[in-house]
Amino acid sequence: MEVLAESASLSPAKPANVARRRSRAARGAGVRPTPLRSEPAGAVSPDSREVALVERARGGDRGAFGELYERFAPMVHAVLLGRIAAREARDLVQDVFVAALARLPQLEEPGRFGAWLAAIARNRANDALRATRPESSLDAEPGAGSAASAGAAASIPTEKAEDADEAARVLAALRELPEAYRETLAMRLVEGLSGRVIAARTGLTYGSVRVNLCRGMKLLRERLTDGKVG
Amino acid sequence: MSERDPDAYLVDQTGPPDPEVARLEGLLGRYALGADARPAASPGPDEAQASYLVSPRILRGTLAVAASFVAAMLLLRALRPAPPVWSVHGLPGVERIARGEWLDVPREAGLGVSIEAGDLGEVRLEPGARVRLDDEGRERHSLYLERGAARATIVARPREFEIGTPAGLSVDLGCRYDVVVDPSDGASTVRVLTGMVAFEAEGRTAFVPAGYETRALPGAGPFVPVHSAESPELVAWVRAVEREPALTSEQLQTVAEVSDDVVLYHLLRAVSRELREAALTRLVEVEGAASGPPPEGVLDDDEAWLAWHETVLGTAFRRR
Repeated sequence: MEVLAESASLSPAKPANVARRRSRAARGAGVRPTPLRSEPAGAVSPDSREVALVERARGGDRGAFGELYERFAPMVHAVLLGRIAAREARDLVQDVFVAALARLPQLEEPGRFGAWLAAIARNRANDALRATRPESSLDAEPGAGSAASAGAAASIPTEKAEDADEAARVLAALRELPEAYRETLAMRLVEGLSGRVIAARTGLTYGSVRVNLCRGMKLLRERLTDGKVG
Repeated sequence: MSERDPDAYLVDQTGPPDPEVARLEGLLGRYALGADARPAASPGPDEAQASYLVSPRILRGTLAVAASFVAAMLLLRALRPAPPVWSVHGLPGVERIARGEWLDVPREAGLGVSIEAGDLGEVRLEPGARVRLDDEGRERHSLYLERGAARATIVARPREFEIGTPAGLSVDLGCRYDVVVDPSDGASTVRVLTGMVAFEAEGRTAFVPAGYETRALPGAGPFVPVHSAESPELVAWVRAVEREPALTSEQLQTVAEVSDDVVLYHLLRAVSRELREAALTRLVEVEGAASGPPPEGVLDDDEAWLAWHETVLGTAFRRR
């Protein structure tokens, strides 16, 4: 059944533990990653399917727009999360796509859709930041030791509350990194995108993504170790 | 001898996990778009690798993504003029299908046959599929799939579109999904790609989120949905216990190993009272909730229980 065969490849990613199980199986079978040093230095071009999806979406194809949403929403969310509170970031993802949809006819290069979308996301996040009241600042992220989280923490096991606090501390540290590192690391550590996927989605070269991840991770480690957060 | 790249895991998620990177992934994963919006503990890398079953929180994560997707689709729909009729594409000589009419897709037809379902979206039909349009007007639109396979991409409000089969009714809750009917016995499989489908028959409802599938036989109603990549062991266990009134202690103990809240949720409607109670206990554990409703509520299917489940699993907006 062709429909089913395709659906298998389109099914959303299996939860992390199963993905890891497959990953171990692949390693056990002797599958090796492509040596990184052989990677071409140029940009990872968006695949032809993505370009086709953009073209179809511009023509009003709702299914194509839906697929673009599925592919790019994590990237957009990572860009937003690097700037604004988690709850607002979730809400703004949809706004970013609606804005993109309205402006899609103005996009001159379909192959630059990801970079274009990220720029819209940054602008939207900046708008939101300007409109943000002090009491809903990033510092009030759930789990950051806020009064709101204290009540919630009282009803969940201590270990989970500590994890939440630690997560909020790490996110705060990540947000203090330079923009390029912050966004790329959020895509990798929060959304679980690989370097190659990040390159394809953002239009950055694979080499740039690699540098951003490695240098960003080094800075993040230093900040977390030194406690230079907030 | 090749040199191992120390950043392989950070950059490409290949090679042995870097413990620090894995720890940060575990901590920050809670903020991911498809993850639970509320703070909750993520398994550490060791725990996650040792885990046997599906990650918890998948249902709420799926719902969060699906809700955003559906909202975006509805906005998109509002921006476009609605096609006036249900038209047929890719089948020479057939341009539209009217209410009550059957459409047979020849086995030699190509893969491009589709029905544009008004302004709701599109249904692709496999060669060999047979459908009837049962459109009931503005409030409810439906196709009846007698045999074959169909993929629906629907941009409708929840419950506005449905596909009937000999074994049940798959009600669109805003999503993309496949329905396959086995012509030999009418057994129907629903596999969801995006969003959620409610598959209803014989007084049973299976809520099937993205990545999951369920199956139903005529007269028997839908089975508990399982992830499309779930282990055969778990699937076999679920099928063995979900409608069995008397279970062995070993079968009951296995509930403690289940981490998939979609499965656990549906086991709250299992035939065995002991299994329902065990599933509730486990669901409360994996959800990280301080407490759940009294088991009596679950067993009586009362309003307090339904309110709790809607609060915890976030499906309130999807109920009729």
